[in-house]
Amino acid sequence: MIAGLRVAAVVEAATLIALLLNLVTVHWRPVTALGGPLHGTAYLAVIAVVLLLPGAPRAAKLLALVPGIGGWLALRALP
Amino acid sequence: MTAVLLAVHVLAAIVFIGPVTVAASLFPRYARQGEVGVARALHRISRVYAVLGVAVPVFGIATATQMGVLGDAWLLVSLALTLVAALLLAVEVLPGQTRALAALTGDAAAVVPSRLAMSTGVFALIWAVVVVLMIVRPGSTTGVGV
Repeated sequence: MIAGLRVAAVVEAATLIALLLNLVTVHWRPVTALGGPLHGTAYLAVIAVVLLLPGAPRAAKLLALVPGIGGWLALRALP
Repeated sequence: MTAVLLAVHVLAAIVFIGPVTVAASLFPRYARQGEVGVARALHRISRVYAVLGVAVPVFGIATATQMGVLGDAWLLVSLALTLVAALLLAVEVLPGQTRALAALTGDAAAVVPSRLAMSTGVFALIWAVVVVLMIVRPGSTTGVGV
């Protein structure tokens, strides 16, 4: 589960950066259309993994809700 | 782009939700038989694929937005049912499996609550209803019809 959380955390941050970069530069529609759901999936996956982890501290569960870097923050808060 | 989103949505539903439904319904039987190894594997499948399954509603909502059908009644009902199924999985099925596994490894005479078998049955039933709603789309001109 931790390995999965790491992947989800990277995807969560990377897709948000890609979406924002796309927004301020070329604003290419396919990037928005595909990157949006991909980011949403990673964001929710991070929250789901942390909630399902046995014995995850309350701080990690709350930090997982932070958009963009929630996965990374939750990983740091896990023992 | 709608075709790509819809393809990902359907593929994710088959590949991710299917295993959860099967693994969750098989779990009570193997747990009752005391097959700890099988039960543990089924619990792992249920948990991992449940997390991956969040892709299904997310890509579904993205597809619906592109198609302009997000406000349709059949879609809102499906979304509500999906939410109920997700809550059932997160609050009833997965914790029930964890408790059953803990009991199995601790005390061989432990019984798997019949509520677990019932909630996995309801979970599968909800998905069946959602799939029918997705195909028939009552009130929409794009549905297959009965």
